[in-house]
Amino acid sequence: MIHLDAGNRIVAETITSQLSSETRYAVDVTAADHNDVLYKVASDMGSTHLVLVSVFVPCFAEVIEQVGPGYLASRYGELLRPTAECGFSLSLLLDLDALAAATEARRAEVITLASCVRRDIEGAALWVCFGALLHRTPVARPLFVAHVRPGEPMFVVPAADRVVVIFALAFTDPTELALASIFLQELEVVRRTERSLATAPLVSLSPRPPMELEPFAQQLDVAAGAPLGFLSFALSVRHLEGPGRLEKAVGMVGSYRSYVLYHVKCTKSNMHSRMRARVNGWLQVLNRAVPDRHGVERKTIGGRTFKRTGTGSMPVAVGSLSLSDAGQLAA
Amino acid sequence: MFASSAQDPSASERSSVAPAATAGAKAHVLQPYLDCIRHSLTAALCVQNFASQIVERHNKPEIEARANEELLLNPLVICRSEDEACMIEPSVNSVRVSLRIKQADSTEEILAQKFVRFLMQRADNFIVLRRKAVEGYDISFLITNFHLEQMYKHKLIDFIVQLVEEINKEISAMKLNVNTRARLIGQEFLKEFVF
Repeated sequence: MIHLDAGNRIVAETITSQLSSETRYAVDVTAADHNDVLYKVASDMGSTHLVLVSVFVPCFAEVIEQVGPGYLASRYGELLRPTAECGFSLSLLLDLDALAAATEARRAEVITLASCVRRDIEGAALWVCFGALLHRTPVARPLFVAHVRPGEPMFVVPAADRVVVIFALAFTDPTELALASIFLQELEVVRRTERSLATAPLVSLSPRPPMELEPFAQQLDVAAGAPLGFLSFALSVRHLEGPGRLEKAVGMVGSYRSYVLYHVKCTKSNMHSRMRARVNGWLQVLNRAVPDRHGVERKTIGGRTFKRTGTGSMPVAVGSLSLSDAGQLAA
Repeated sequence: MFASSAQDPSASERSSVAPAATAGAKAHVLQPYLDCIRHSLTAALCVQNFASQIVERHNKPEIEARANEELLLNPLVICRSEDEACMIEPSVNSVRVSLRIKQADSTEEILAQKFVRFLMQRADNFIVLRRKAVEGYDISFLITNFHLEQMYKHKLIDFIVQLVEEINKEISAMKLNVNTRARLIGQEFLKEFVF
């Protein structure tokens, strides 16, 4: 698996199984996602055909203030509850009976909506800006900021012919930091050198905040910089045109940090298994330095015991085979 | 004392060297360094049972206890370069061998640190491994007369030499592996935007 799923698999599977099962039972499932996002899928107390999907997204208030509450209404429509469940950012109410009666396409759409809330809230600015770029309509704001993780904001700067997405990246673990910096450098290098990627979005990595953020330097607290630097992607219309491309672009760009982190973890586990294999090899070499004990009675798998004689470390053919068990001898 | 015996190993020691030497371009470059370590270790690993002169009924590795100056011999440092060296500190009943592993850049530094940590956590299994490296070195071994009573000397030396030889190889292989992976991951990500 190279790419991460856009949605939360647990949420999608819970809803799907509720839809397909003959007898409905009450569910109460809590699932965590990247960036401290929390999902809760719970059946209504009285009627099991109503399922409430509540999601907590840390940067929810900040994002909605920038894209406007109309974004939620247009995206979720009638699914959206006017007030969210206590402790969560937003709640969607799914009517399983109505869904079962609806078309296959509608069912898939609703499941996608419910399981991809993290992508759509964190990437709300991406949806808005990419959509505006695609339809060549102006965007209300010159800059969108989403603090997807504390201290690691994502900036979206729309322009006339492109949208620049900037990540300020940091990893807490020093090993992960070192590995991630290799990953980011290679991303930039591969974009520059690989001919087949000539039409891919422009990627640039810099230790200082990039040019696009300069007009907003006053209001942003980016002067301190990010330990890993600032990574920016510049997407143009070419990357968004076509069926399903817009949705894919939002998912891919929005989850870039999780993508890198996931592969950093995989690299670490790979390194560990390599080291373990190598260390076992060395241990064998060291154990060869300990001579076999002589004159000790040893046992074969059949239960026979024998004593080894001879000198040196080379295994000597069984010297004197003394059978301990008379019954074995008879057999 | 050790330098002279290192330069003139006896014929029997020379014959024990042969099987451990491995082929390959890298091994050739490293070979003089490895040979030097091997011969110096053969000379240095000449220890005897020696009880503490200070505390009655105690028997401690003198190189660690450092209680009597006269029981310690001159330490020997074999350098391949500034950041790749092997220090051998002999004493009457124990020898401490410390290795400095080459770390060319920050990636190799991280990998070497991880590797060494991984090894030292398994010091119980590697009987001769020291849990903590000597200051300025990455990994240390403490070989006492009791270890040498249990083990073949030439095979113990084989182990140390093989470790020196392979640890660099492994670290550069891991570095290459990480870089290849990083490249592939970047490529796969950007490929999703190319139609």
